[in-house]
Amino acid sequence: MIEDLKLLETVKKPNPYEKFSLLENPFPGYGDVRTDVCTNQQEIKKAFLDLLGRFGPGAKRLRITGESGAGKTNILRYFERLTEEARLRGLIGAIYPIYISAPGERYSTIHAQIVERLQEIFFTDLINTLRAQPDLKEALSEIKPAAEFLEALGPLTQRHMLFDPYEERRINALVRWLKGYKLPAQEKKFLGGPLSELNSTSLAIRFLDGLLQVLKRVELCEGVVLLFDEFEEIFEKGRLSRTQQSQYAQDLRHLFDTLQDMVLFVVATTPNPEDLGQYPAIERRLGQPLSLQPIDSEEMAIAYVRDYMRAGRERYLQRKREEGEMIPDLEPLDDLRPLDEHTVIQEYRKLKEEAEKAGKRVLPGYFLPRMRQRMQEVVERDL
Amino acid sequence: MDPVSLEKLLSVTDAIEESRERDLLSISKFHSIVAEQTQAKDPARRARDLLRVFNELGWVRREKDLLYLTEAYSRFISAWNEGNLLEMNQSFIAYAPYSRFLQCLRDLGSIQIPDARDKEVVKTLGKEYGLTFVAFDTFRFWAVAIGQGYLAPFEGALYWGGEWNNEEPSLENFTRALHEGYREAEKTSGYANIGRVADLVCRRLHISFQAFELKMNRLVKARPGLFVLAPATIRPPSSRFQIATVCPRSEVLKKRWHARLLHSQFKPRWIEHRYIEDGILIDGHRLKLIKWEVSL
Repeated sequence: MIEDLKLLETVKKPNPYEKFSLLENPFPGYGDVRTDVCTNQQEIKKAFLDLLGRFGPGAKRLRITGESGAGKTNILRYFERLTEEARLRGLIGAIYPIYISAPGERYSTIHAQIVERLQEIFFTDLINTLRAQPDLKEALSEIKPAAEFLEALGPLTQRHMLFDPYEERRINALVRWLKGYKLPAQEKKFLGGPLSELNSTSLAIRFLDGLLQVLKRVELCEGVVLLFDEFEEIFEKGRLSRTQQSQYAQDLRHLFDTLQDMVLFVVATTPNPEDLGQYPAIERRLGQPLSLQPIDSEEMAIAYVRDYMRAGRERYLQRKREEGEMIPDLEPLDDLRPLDEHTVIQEYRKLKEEAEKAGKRVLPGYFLPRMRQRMQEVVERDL
Repeated sequence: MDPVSLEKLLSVTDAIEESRERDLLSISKFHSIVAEQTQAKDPARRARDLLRVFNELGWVRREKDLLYLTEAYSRFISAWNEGNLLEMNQSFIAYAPYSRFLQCLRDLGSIQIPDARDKEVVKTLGKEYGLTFVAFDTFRFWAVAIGQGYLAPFEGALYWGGEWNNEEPSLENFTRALHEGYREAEKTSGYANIGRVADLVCRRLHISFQAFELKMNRLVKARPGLFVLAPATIRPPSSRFQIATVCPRSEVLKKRWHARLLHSQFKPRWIEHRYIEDGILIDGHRLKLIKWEVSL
């Protein structure tokens, strides 16, 4: 079989990007997001790092604005990764990022996303901690908003059970309850206590607050960075009915206020969602907007290309080293080859003309996919 | 021939703008544009009908297999690009059935939107103004979207709304009517819904909603501090009738270019629809409430 497999190796086409120390085209296509590169945007990065660095009680909010293609999702995903890295390197405490998007028509859509992510990150550890340290339960009972959650959690944390055949179903039921779903009687049996229905968003937010306080008390989580994408969808004219929109705004206000000690809210939105002005309470809570910067010069365009080349080469080196290949350090990593400054500038100027017709400036969402196309053309031409 | 909807007419005109070579367009190209833009069951017939409308508007001159785009066509495009509703209306008036419709609306002052089954009204329209029910139903959208008619959202009646231009009504008269409208409208903490006030002013002055918005923008600049405008709303939407306005083509083109830059799908919407409770745009900000500060 080894011999036959070797035959397949010879059939495999060589990767044309390897010639330039890359695994693939380093530039994102239309709508693609890269989490490891974020060129420029110093003001926003500084504001975010300031808030992250002095994470503590009180309101922590950051409002990022930008048109479609300005890089809102990119910077949120970058902050998600940055927070993870900072925590893993011990630069910040146990602060976890949660990315949410597509806010839908009512608050329960984002509530479900938050609960799901908290479950993925913490539930196993939380259950194990409570099983190992049953005396913690008394300390936790002081957290009033968590009383019912802890009751519900009861059957999952009983120490005497060596193996609980219903554990997965109990967790599922708990998560569904926290999300605000109506539980059938059969599912309720898997959880402890007489459960109230989470039929109001204020109750759902109260329990979410309780859960975060529990996680803090058991030292699993000091806080959350909530990265809220596509926020404008809630306040675009005509997308939601007036009743839905004002209910959503009321729930968001409640969310911002209740969770302010434990959560850093980072909200990305288009510059002026048409109906947001009607909700001054929300505008006030979001704070002053910081705008994403367009690619305003040829130097900046080259800086973008260099950053993506560097990230692509770093991925290449990492992969090769993981595969056990002895690859010497590449110098410099941000070399533009197979592109060159002239090509980048040419593309930038062409795009600038097109953007001006649309009354826009050059945004990364237009520029990077164009560089991807150019890169592909150049690499394929060399084949 | 069925009258063409304004949306279709604008789509076809835009496609001509995108395809023409200088002032020329081949007949075959015109046919393919109509087929693509109207999705008609019988595209050849639709193209013939539309060509007749273009001819009557004075926008094209046919010579064998070529269409020459005229000076009147260029004037219309330039008015549309700027969103100049008055100039657009001047262009459309050349189309006799539309002109007859405007005359009908002007004569009657207001008309309850008729039902096709209302034989008496249909007969009157046909006898006195040479309009079929379908023509009436089509042109009422034209007139409202070009700011010559006012569709009263709270009662479903169509009012003559063409008594306006850059000078008329004067800001003084407009201010007076606005103040009266404000006094009449229901208020909460001194604030009245701007849509309700607009409704009273438009009907009183025989102007369209677009004219109201335009005059309000001028008034805000000319007399700051006369009243306070606020973005919040205190009323849920009360009606199913919508304000329709032709968008400046240049704005739609910008959106199209933006979509191209993002490689996203884009379907141009030449007419913007909104509810009267959505308020008015003042300097790009949507405002829904008005509170008078200074007595006149």
